[in-house]
Amino acid sequence: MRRPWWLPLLLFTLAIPRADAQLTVQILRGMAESVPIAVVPLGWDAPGAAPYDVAATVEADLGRSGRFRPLPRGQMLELPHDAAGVDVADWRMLKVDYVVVGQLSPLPDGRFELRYELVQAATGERLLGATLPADRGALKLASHRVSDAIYERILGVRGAFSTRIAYVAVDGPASARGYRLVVADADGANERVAFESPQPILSPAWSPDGRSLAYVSFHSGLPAVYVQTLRTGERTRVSAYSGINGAPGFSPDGSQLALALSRRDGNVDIYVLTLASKELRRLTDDPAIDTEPAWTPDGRSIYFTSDRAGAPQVYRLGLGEGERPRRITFEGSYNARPRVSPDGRELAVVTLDRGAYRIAAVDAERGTLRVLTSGRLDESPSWAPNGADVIYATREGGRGVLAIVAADGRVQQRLAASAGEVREPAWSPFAR
Amino acid sequence: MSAAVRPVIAPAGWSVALHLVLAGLLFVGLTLPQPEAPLEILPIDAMVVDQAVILAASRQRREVERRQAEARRREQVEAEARLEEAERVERAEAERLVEEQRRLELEQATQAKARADAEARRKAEQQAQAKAAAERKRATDDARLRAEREADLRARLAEEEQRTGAAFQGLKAQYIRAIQAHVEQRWFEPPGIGQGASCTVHVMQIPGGEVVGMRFGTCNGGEAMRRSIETAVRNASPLPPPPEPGLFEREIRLVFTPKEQKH
Repeated sequence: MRRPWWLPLLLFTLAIPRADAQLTVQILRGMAESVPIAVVPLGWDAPGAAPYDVAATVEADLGRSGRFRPLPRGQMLELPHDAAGVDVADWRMLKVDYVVVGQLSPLPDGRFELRYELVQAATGERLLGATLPADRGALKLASHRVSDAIYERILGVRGAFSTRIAYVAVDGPASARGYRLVVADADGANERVAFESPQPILSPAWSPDGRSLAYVSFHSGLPAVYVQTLRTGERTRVSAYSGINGAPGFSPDGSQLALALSRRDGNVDIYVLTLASKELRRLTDDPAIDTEPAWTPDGRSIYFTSDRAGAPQVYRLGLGEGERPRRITFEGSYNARPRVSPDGRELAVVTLDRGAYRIAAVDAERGTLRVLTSGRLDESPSWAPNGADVIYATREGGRGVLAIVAADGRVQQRLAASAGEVREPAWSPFAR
Repeated sequence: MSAAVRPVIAPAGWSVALHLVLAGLLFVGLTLPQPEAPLEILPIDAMVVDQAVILAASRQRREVERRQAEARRREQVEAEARLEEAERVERAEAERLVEEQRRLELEQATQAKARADAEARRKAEQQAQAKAAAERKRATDDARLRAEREADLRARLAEEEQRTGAAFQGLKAQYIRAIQAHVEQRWFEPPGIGQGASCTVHVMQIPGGEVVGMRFGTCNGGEAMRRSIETAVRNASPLPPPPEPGLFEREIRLVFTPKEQKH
């Protein structure tokens, strides 16, 4: 029997995709771990060696963030110094998405001019081009600023490479402990001791302008809260009530300090101290321990830890009249030390996760919790000012070190730290 | 009881019987038989007959003999006639029998022929009928077969369509997954993409998968997201080939909707 004439026609029509069946592909999550980038050594158009390897610092910054994968210099086919010299086809062949080029030049006044450009290999488009002057001592900071700009241009988030971290370093034998309040660059370099004491130093907190630190010191024998201006070293005792004076936290405008005080009744509660007037206002009055206050970015609420429900959990208290604390965390038996993300949407907390203390991100509205770290004793989370990372203290080889985890949990890094025990990191705000 | 009687009569009985036997014997002896005299008459008596009488007798004897001969002859003739008649009858009977036989045979033959003819006719008719029936059957069979084949073909086509459709859908899904994985592996999703961000990109490819163009459709993501997508798409070139050439599309729509990472 012969095939009907319409059979091939039918089969043919079957093979033709329907008009409404246009291929639509859902891209749900970027799997690429990092952005490949080439930071070409900057040109130096003067005799002698360049005073500073800007490209090396930029490369280290971007690589350390975990979000970039710098191309080793040895693999570069050419070393252009401006965007016009970038042959995007070559860089694409090297699987590089972005190329950073630049030039360092001496200025007549003895300073230097740092010029750099960012080129997108896919399109050849010049995404950045800037020139910044810097004296010799500021070339490192200038390099961090270049990293910030590149980071922001590519990722859409302001880089935090030029920010600083404060932490407490402890060293010496138990009989002769030395406590130091240290401020370092965000990469751990350039450590400077802000305050030193044989008595414990606790809970450093940055002022919103990044110029001062509040902290608890026992150097007088009793705990007291101090505010110290970093540039001058000038130190002011702001809270030395009887009993516990602890856990200072600056209000977003820097005019107030939230504190945990026990005062005379021995009951630790949250207070707000207005720095200029020394006026003290009690926020909570509960037989349980209320401590570790942290302001929301809008300054209208304070998160704090309380064991009023039997175990430490995070609460939020609106600062309006008559507002009452509202419990935020419900997942897990232990959630403490809340720190509010720069956008106010998340809290970094210490959570008890399967027998280990770890850093978690809590949705401020829904209270849902996402464990970010995997240590045994992770403590003291502090947000990077861009909200991309959280720095925290952890233990490694029996000693306290600092680590950084991306807010999405994807990237973890250890921070190079000097000898001794390192605790209670606090990430500075952006410099103003 | 009798024994008792017998001894009573025995002596007297035996004596009487003996006497009787003796008397009988005596009588027999006296009466012995003598030889019997012949009963036949001697022919001497006939010698006494005269000539005339002898003549008359001779004539009479001849007459008798003639009559006897005549009678014998007649008798013979009659016998012969009878025989003849018998033979004739017999022959006739035989002939009749033969005739009868022949007639019977003829009749039988005729009947046989008739029967044969009828049989032949019947057979012929039967054959004709059978043929007609076969013809009809063949015709219906053909029709049925055609119908069956058509139904079968239709079924096969439907199945083919379904199978092709399903296979098509399967291959298409496979193709989509391949592109998805290919692009996702090359997409660095920038941190801090806002919730609900979504960008549609129309990607133009040529056979071989080389991306020759792209343009953004609706996109509420920021510049970093756009840039990351642009880079991902450029880096994804060449796109993976379709598992079936017919699936190739010059324009593919990529929808970047970052999975919400925050709870």
